[in-house]
Amino acid sequence: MWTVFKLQWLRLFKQPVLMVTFLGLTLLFVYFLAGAQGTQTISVPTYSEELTSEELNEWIDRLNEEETFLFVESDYETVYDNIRMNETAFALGLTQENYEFLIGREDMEISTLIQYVDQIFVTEMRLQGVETDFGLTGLEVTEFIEIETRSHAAAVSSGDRYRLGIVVGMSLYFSVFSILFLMINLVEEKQTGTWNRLIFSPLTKTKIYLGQLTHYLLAGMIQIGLAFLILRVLVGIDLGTNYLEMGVIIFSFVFAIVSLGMLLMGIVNTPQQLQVVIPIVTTSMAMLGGAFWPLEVVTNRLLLFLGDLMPIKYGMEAMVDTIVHDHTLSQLIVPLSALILMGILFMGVGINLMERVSDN
Amino acid sequence: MEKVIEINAIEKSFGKTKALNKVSFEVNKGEIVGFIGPNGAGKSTTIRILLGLIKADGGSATLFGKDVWKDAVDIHKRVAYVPGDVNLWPNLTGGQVIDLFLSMRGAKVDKERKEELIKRFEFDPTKKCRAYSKGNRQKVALIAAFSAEADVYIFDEPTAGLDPLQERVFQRCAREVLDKGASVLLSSHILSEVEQLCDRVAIIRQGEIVESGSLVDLRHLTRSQITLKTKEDIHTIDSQDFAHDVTRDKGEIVFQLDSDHLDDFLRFIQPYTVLKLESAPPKLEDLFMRHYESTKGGV
Repeated sequence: MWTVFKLQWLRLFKQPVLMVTFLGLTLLFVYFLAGAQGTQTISVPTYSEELTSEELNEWIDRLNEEETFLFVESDYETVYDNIRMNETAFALGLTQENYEFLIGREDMEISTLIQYVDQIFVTEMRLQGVETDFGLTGLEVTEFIEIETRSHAAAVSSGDRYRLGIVVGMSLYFSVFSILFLMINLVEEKQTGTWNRLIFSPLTKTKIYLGQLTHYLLAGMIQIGLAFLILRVLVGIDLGTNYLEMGVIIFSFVFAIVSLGMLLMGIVNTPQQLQVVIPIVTTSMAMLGGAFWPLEVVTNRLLLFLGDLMPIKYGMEAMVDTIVHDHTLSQLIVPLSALILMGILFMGVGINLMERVSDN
Repeated sequence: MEKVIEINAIEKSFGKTKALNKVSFEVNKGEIVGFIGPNGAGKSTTIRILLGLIKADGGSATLFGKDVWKDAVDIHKRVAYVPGDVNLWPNLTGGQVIDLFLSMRGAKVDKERKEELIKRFEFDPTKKCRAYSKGNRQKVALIAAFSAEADVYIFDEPTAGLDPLQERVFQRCAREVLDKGASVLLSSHILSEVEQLCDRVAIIRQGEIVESGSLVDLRHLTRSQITLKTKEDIHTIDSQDFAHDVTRDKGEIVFQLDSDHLDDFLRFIQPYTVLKLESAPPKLEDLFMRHYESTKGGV
């Protein structure tokens, strides 16, 4: 078994282009497309036609006390043009006693933004009201009840979860690509006849398969691990510290994918056909499984049902839950079992089909 | 004598085509058996069954007394095989592949033996396999096979891509393993090679063994070519039962003589004054051609 395992690594090291390319693509996509350049604050252009520049700055300082949003001073014309040109989605306009939003397009941050601005405005207005009514100045707000949030869930906005989903989803998507493309080797071996060389050695078929599959399993795990490591160290994406849980999830996911590969190879048995089938399967799996966009935006029940059958959905779900909510293995039992179960099913059917094909 | 390979009435069909029909032959310990037949006769199918790559539909095939399908893994530890068309991993070097083949056997690699064979076959193990010609790919398999201490060597047209010099190296190596007590099954098209190396041959045609036995025995079944010149003109020879394909050239009579009618022939020419009598021994090729031609003729 180890000879076959070693052989596969030897072949991979001689031709590492595929793996390196997909690793590079993962980083590129996560970095540029998923907008994951560190933790982003959303900037809100703020303008006012009534307030003086000083008054406006005062408001902006007050609004910037919390770090969720970054309010930036601007003027109406610029903001109007930017919204018209779709460069910004929204802007905040302040008047003496009120505020307004200029909204160009719907954005999922808007409701949070409105809530946030509203809360501050109401507080300020109430303070001003008290000051005027009672002729007081320099009021200070004392908090009688301190709320301490312990759960991670509350601290994570839906946007953060979405971005993390994209990071994880992209990494998994490209790893599926490279694992499946790497597995074409197996079919190529059968076609070129080197597989028979392996069969005609004092190795059992089980050992040959085990050697091959262990290689793909490890190669896939290394690829995902490496992508996460680079994203964490170089790009600074927080992926938590639950290494054991992450390891188990990566293992289960890669196992499911390697098994999926075996199934595909059982059905389609020339490398040329596989080169066509793999991108179709991988991309549709990623779309249905929510690697490209959050499944919350999907309403079609059929699509959601199909999504439930995709290993990538469970892989992402488990990873995001572990990173964000510190879920332990026992809490991850559902997605993990789903992955392992899919793996066993695909592997069983796949090997069966493959062996039936090669018997003839 | 201990039988190492024993094939007994094996059958194999691919769809409606019957590839093998009750094929039987055996290879004894320390013996080299030639396995010859035209293309598509079933040689490679028989070998693939022996190697446990495909399963026979009927009959039994054993190596070292073990079933070739059920005990394939055990058998493979003691068998070295060289196919006619060697397939290698294109991005590995020849040396790496040889080491790989040997390490798959699980035995210790005899490095000296390997180096010696690399030298003898004049092989460059540093190049990648995709750069090798057919002959060089064949050398990889041959070196790996001869480096292994096997009890049975199965060669399926092993010298098809080799030059005549390397063919000789192959023949020497084959004799060396025979001297060590191993047995060899050699499937080949090169009849002179089979003739030189083999103790016995089995001829297969259309999935059936049509001839099997020692070369000496088989020669009895064929005809010698006789070139005869006599003072007198012999007309009656044309009508003799033992003479076939009689032609006359510059006063010489050339014909094929049934090997078992040699005595009749000698008695027939006694009354004549013989000036020249040449007898060419039957070649394996003639034997082969006899069967081959009958295949073509659809007999």
